[in-house]
Amino acid sequence: MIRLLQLELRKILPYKMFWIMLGIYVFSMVFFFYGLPSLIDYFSLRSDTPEVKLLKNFLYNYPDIWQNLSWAASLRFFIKIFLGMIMIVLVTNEYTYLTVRHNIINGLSRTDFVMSKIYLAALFSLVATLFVFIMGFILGMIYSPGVSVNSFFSKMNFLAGYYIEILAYLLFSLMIALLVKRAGLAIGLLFVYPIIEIIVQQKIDEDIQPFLPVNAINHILRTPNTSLIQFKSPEFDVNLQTGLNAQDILVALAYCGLFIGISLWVIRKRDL
Amino acid sequence: MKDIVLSIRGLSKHYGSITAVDHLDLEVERGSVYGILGPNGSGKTTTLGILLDVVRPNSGSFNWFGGLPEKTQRKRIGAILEVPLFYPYLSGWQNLKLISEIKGLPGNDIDQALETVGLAERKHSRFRTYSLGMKQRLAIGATLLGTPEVLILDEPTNGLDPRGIAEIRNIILDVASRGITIILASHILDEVQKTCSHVAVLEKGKKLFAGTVEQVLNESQWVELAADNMQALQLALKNAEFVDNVLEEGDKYIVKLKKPVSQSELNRYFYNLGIVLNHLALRKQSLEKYFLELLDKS
Repeated sequence: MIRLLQLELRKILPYKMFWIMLGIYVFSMVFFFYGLPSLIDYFSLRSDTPEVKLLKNFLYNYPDIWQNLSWAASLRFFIKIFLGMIMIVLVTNEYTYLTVRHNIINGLSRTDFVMSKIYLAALFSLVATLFVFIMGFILGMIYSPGVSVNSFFSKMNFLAGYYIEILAYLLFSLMIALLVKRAGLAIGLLFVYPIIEIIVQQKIDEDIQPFLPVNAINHILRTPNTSLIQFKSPEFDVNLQTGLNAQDILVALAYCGLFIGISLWVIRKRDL
Repeated sequence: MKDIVLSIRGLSKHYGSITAVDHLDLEVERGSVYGILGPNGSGKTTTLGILLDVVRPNSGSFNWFGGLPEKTQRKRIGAILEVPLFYPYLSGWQNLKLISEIKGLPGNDIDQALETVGLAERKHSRFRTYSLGMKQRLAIGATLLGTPEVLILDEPTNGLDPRGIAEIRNIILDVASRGITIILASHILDEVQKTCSHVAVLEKGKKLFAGTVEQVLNESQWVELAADNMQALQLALKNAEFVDNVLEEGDKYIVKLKKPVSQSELNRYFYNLGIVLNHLALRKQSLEKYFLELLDKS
């Protein structure tokens, strides 16, 4: 595993495009987290609900900050899509440059080729989780009124949830990249597929909805019910999340297995 | 006993309705330089692609080194398939380092490989900036890493200038002299004739011939004949039972013999018929003639 990961790093670390895309990812995450209060202001001006405005004061408080930030980082159309794009570009490059052949000819097995990308997805997920942790640490230290050991650690399991969610998402991106082999098409699908799923879920039974792939991935972290939004008002009767749910995680892990299975199947069956 | 490095049995590959490789059988002995000859689109690259696990065959099987596990096999093979494949944004050195790691080599022979193919000075330039000849030479350099047992070269002189072709040929001969088995696919007959010990001829994925180059050159003999009375000579050739085929070339006949006949025998034969030869020369058949003949027959 270490050897395959080393190979991957040898391929990507000197690759300028990788650093540019990673830069965009980090920048948008930092900017988004730092700017969340302003965004809340913006929405509260439009929605006339004072409660939303109140949220701002609790946003960066320990322990809720872990849940708030990991949820914000996992929104399906935003920050994580940059990570998915990095994954897709790195995989489709191997087809554009035909280096997938080069890898196999020089002695990598087809399985090893896919496994090295899976390890890469796991590493990226770890780095992404670390980013959220660092942002939570810095913003919390600045804005959280009181810091105790208990409040600092108590909701950190949301970071673990975030890790699984990003991993599942990156494995989904990997599978798309291996299936279509072209960067443009794969990135297009990464954007379009979640939209398709939103349309599909309107037509199907409510019980099945959470089991659609992108929904399932996103279901680990839902709209947070942090200390603030613990009220119920007629207009605000949404099922908000208070803690991680074991079933959600199991479903996401099952999807990870499915994405890996399809990726391996596709690489074994095809001419390269 | 023969030491077989590679044996192929009944290999077939279809692309839709097109048959690229058609029930191919082949055996390659250790230490031979094996030329796979055929016109463009005859299935050479597809065959090599299958042998390197890049292309999936529809049927048949092949066996490297008497059946080693898949992964260890290819680490003992150095190969170029069609075009040089490298990461364009990595330097020549970085590319070879990556290959060393894939093969599980320590990587202490990278500089030497770059030296051999004359790229030492440009080793830190990105692959993207290399000329076609340099790319091709880097590809050859990559195959030399870790001293492979078998070298697979698919059209290694494609797109090179005459000097580049000569350089590559020298590298191949040098490698062959070290006892490394070489499998060389080419549509250039001259290249095969000059470098190979064995040859297989493919057309539309079918094997038309396989054997030693020597065998091809000796399989049938050609002689050049001319006489004062060319009409009488022509008539005599028509009736002679040892003659297979007659071609006219300038002011002489090129005659293919069914079996080897000595020059004095030939001379006597025609003299007895009252024909005086003014030109008689044995001609070693070139691979090209044989090749074209095979393609004509198929």
